Amino acid sequence: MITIALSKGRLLKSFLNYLEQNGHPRWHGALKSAQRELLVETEGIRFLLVKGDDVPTYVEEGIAELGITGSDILAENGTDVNELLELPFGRCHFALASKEELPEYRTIATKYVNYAKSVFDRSEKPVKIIKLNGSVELAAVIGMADAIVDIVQSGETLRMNGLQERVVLDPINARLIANKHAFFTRSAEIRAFINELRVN
Amino acid sequence: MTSFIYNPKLIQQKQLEIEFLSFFHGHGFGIIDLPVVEAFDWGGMTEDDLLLMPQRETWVQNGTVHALRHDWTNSIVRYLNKYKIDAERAVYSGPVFHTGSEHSQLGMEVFSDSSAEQQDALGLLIEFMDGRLGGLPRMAVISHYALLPMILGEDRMAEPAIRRALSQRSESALKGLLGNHPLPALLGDRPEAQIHKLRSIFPEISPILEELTGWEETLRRSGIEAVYPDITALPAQSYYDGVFIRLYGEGHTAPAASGGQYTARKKAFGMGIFY
Repeated sequence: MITIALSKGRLLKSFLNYLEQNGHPRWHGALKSAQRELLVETEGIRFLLVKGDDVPTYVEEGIAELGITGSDILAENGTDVNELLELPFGRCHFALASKEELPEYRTIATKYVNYAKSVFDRSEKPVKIIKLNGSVELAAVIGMADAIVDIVQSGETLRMNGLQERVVLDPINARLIANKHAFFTRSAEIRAFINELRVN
Repeated sequence: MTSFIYNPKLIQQKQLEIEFLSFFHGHGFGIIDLPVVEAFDWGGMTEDDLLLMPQRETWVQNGTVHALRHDWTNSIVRYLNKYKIDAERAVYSGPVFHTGSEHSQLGMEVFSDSSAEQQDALGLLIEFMDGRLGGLPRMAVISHYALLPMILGEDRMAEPAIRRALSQRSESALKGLLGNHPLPALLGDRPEAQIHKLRSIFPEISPILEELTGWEETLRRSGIEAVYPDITALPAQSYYDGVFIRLYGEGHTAPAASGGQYTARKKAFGMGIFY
């Protein structure tokens, strides 16, 4: 049995839509009917439903042979896993957003500190980066930061908080990751799962 | 406090080190030792030194960078690049320090370009692991660092994005970066099948594949049944330029032993056990 760590929340919804549209009624049914279960087994596959940030850790440690998580998390964490495939769902992007348009943004609030640092290093602009774990928009609303770097899907959360997207940064999508050991020892099952996903 | 308490595990570890050194010494290996603290001049650091520095435990004293030994082969390569040694084969044991932790390493080096001598030494290492370290490794991953430069070319190999995609074994990223090159599609095959397809697409790499086959046979003769080729492996340090092998124990995702062929003035082969 192959074990796959899945990111809960936004990405899981996106994965469920993908399964529904691409003819996987059993996987879709089993995952959809999971209420608060964190472990779902169906058709020789065990899905672990975990926090997105933890998916790479489950895979790196070999608890799961495969994982599905966002490229945002992989960009931030730098876990030692194989990033096998880009998946055609979970699409959104990183953006810089602020309340007012400023000539320069000197203080940035974000959950993605490493990613934000790489963005401002690329543009050769020194900034102070403040790490927040959630409700990042608030930092720009109350003036703790000039701007935020965060994930944007529809832009609705930004609009509701009076913020506007100023710079569209890197695109984000779901990625299939594999444990570096399982890549060799479970290659047939990994390939079978990829074929079932029909992403190629 | 614990250092003053009788610790059977400590005795076992020291006994294991002595057994390892004695075992290889009995097969003609000279026992070597090197300082656990290494000194680096700012101006004399190589790209390899700089690459490894973030993983090392370092401090600066009197304008010199000091670092705890990161791994034995690295220390031996640095020694060989500076000094001549007469030994043909060497064995060592001792602590190494990386990413904030102390580990113990047992290992051997063969300072010869003879594949037969190198493979004999690998056989001995596996024999010791089988007899004294909880049994045979269950699986081996084998690669050759001359393979990718031949099938991709040096220019592509220098591209950071391509190197990253190779290290991730990312079929998607490589398709985007390499276009119609056959390598990304090969990653969709079972690792065992990749070598056969490579041979038919790139006949010029046959000598390398034959070399790999020789090492694979050594591993199988030593009792390791599952041997997988890794066609996208990249060397962690530039001196590794030939075959590289990782041995894994049952249920472990980190290698129990690893090492390979390298050049430090002349061709050599080294492999270490981490425990």
